[in-house]
Amino acid sequence: MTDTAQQYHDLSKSVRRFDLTDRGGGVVRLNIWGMGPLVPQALPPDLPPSVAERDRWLRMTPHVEGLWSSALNIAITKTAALAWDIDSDQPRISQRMQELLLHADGGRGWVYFLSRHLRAYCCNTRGAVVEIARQTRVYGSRLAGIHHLPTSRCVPTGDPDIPILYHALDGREYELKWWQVIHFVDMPDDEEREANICAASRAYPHILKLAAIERYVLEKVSGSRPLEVHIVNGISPSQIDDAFATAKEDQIRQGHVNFMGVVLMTSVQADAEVSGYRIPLAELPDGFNRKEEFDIALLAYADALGLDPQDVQPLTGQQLGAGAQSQVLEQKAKGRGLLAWRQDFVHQINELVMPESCRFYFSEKDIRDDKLRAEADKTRIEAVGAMIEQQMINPQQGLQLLVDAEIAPEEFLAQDQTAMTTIGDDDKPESEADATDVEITPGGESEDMGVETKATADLLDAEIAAAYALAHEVLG
Amino acid sequence: MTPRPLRGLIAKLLVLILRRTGQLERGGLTVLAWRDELAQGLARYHQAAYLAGQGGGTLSEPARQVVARLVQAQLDFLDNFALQLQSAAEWQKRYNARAALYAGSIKVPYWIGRTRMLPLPFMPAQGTQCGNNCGCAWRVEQLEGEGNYDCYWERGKTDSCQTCVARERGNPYRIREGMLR
Amino acid sequence: MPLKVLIPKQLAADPRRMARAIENALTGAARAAKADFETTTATWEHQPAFDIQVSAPGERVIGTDDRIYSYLDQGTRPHDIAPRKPGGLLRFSASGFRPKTRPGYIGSNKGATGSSGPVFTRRVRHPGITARGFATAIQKKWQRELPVTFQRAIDSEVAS
Repeated sequence: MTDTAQQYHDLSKSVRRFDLTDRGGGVVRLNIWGMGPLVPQALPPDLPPSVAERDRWLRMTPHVEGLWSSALNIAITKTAALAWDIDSDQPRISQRMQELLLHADGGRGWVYFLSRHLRAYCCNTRGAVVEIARQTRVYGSRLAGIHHLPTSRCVPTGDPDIPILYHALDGREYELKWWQVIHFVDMPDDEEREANICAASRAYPHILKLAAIERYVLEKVSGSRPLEVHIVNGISPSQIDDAFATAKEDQIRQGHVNFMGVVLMTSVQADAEVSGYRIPLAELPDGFNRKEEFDIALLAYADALGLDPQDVQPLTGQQLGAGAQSQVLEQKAKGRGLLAWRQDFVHQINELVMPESCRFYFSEKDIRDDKLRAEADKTRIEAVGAMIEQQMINPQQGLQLLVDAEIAPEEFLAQDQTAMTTIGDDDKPESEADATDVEITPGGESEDMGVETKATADLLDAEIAAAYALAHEVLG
Repeated sequence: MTPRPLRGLIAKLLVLILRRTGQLERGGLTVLAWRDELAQGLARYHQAAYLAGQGGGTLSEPARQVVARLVQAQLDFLDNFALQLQSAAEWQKRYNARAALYAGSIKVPYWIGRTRMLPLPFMPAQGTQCGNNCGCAWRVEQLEGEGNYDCYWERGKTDSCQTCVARERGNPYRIREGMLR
Repeated sequence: MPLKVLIPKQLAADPRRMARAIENALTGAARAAKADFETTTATWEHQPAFDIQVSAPGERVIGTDDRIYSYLDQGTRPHDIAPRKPGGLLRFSASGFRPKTRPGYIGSNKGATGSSGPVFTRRVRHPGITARGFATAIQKKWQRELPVTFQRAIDSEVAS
C-alpha cells in the first residue's frame, strides 16, 4: 500500500470511527447478515407517513423489483463512471484534491463511494449524506477525506449550523457542523417537512405494480398459493378454509410438486348438482399485456432517475416508446433525478471541499457528446484558420489557441504560453495509480435446506409409537 | 446433574448402540443393517427425548419438524460413518467410542422439549467452561398472557463454573409476547 | 460469513416473525457474550460494567467503556511509571506475581500478588501488558454459535 493510500485508510478523523470497536474497552459486535428472508415478499400499497419507515421500504425496492434494480444500476454506474477534472493553477493542490477524491470512503475509491452515495440519493427521501472529514473539528481545518454516511443513521436537524446528527454504531449521537457535511436531497420539500421525493418515491407505483405482476406470474407457475378455486360440486364455508389449509400442507409435504395454483373442491353431498364454478382469487385484468406494462414501467423508471430512455432500452431489447415520447421524456428528465444531482454535487464540492484555487467538474465522455465536440472543434479550427488568413494572428498564436482548446496536443508547442493546469481523474502525475475497482460485497444468504427427506419422515412415523412408550417409561 | 428421564434414555440408547456395534465388529451384522438399526434407534430416542423433556403430552407438528431436522443431521453423520466402516480394512477400537457418542445427541431434543421451544439464549453445556459436565438447567415459569415467561438459569452444583455463575446473575430471562428481553 | 440455518418456507414468507426470530437470536447471543465478558473479570476487585446496545436492527454491540479493561483487552506498549506525588516512591513485589487472566482465555483466575519482599524505586519501566484479546475470543465464539441460537429462535417462532 502506498503512503497516500495508507493515509486515506485512516478513519480516525471521520465520524465513522465511532462505528468501529473503539469504545475504550473490549467490544463485541454481533450481527446476522444474509437478511434475505427479511426482504418483504410484498411492498405496502401506501408508503407510511413516517420518514424513517418510508425510507426503509424505499431502500428495499431494488431487492423486490428486478427491473427497477437494473434501471437503478444503469443510472448509478453511468454516473459513477463519469470522468471528472479539477481545474487549478496550482498543480500540487489540484493533485492533493485528486488524491482525496480518488481515495474517498476510507480508501475504497471514488467509484465505490459514488455508487453508495447515488444509491442512497435515489432510494431515500432523506437523500444522501457526505461527510467532509477534517484534521480537527475547526472550520477551515485541513481536509482528511470524504465519506458516505448511511442515510438511515443520519437525522437532519433543520439547524443550518448543525445540519446532521449521526447515530454511530456505538449507540451515541454525534453532531456534524455545516462544514463537516453535505446533504443532498432530490426534489426537496418546499415546506421543510422532509416530504422530499426521491427517484424510488416517484417510481413507486410502477415498482409496486411490476412486482405484483411478477409475483402473480411466479405463483401461477410455481403453484405456491391458490390463485383460483374450481368448485366441482356444492360446498360449505368451512370446507373452503380446510381446502386452502390442506393445499398448503400438501404442497409443503410434497416439496416441489406443483399443481398450478388451483384448488379443486369436491362435495361430500352425493346428490349435489355438478356446478363447475370458478372463483378467481387473483388474476390479471382483461386485455393485460405484460410487455406493454414493462415498457411503461421502464419509461417511468428512466423518467424518475433522470435517465435518457435509451439508457434503459437494453433492458427491453427495443426502442422504448414512440420517438416523440422518448424525446419529451429526455427533456423532462433533465430537470430531475441524477442530472439535477450532478449540478448540486459539483456546486457543493466546489463550495465546501475544493480550495479557492481549484474547481471540480464532470467531463462527459459520450458518443453523442463526442460528435458534438467534433463539430465544435471543426468550427473552432475554421475560425482560427480564418483569423490566420486575415492576419489577425500569426500561425504560432493560432496553434496556441488550438492547444488551449485541447484540439492540438501540447507537444506541438515549443513552450506553452498559458498557465492553466488541468488534471483529470485518470492522470498519473507521479507514480502509477492503482486501478479503482467497484467492490460489491454481497451479504451472505441464509439457506433454506428444506424439510427432512421422505425416508427420514417415514422412519420417524414408524418409530413414534415406540417413542411414546419410552417417554412414558422414563417419566414413570 | 443430568435429569433422571434424560439419563435413563441415554443409558438405554447407549446399550442399543453398543450391542449393535459389537455385533458388527464380530461380523454378526452388515454395515447396512447396523446403520438401519442405529437410524431406527436415533429416530425413536430423539422423539422420546423431546416428549420426556416436555413432560409427556404429544408431539406437535412444529416439534416434529424440529426433531426431524435433528435426526436428519445425525443420520447424515451416521451415513458418513457407515461409509468409512464399509471401506475400512480392519476394525479399530475407536469405532466403538465414536458410535457411543451418538447416544449423547438426544440431549438436544430433550432440552428443546424441556424449555418449550422458547427462544432462550443458551442451553446447558453450550459455551460453558464446564462443557459436557454442566449440571445446570432452565426453570420456566409461564405468566399471564400469550408468550410471557420468566426463565431462570439454575445451577445444579455448588461449584459451577464462572460461565454458569455469570448466567445465573442474569436471572430472570424475561420473554414478553415472544420477544426475549 | 454465511449462516446455515433451516428456515421453513412459511416463516420465510412472514417478515414480522422473521424479524422477531432475528432479534431474539441476537439478544440471546448478546446476553451470552455479556455473561462471558463478566467471567473475564469474575475474580477482579475492580468490576467493570458491561452493557448491551442495540446499535441497529440486526446488530448488537456488547462492551464496556472501562479504561482499565481496555488496557488488559488490547494490551499496552512499554511505558514508564512514576509516583503520583512528586518526590514519592513506587512500591511493588519483585517476583511471584501471577496475573488473574491470560491471553485468549474467557475467564479469570485467583492470580497472586507476589510473595517476595517489596521493592522501592522512584521510577520503573513497565514492559507493557500483553493483550488478552477477550473481545476477539468472545466475538469468535458467539459469532460461531450464532447459527445455533438463530435456529433455536426460528424453531420457537415455528412452534408459537
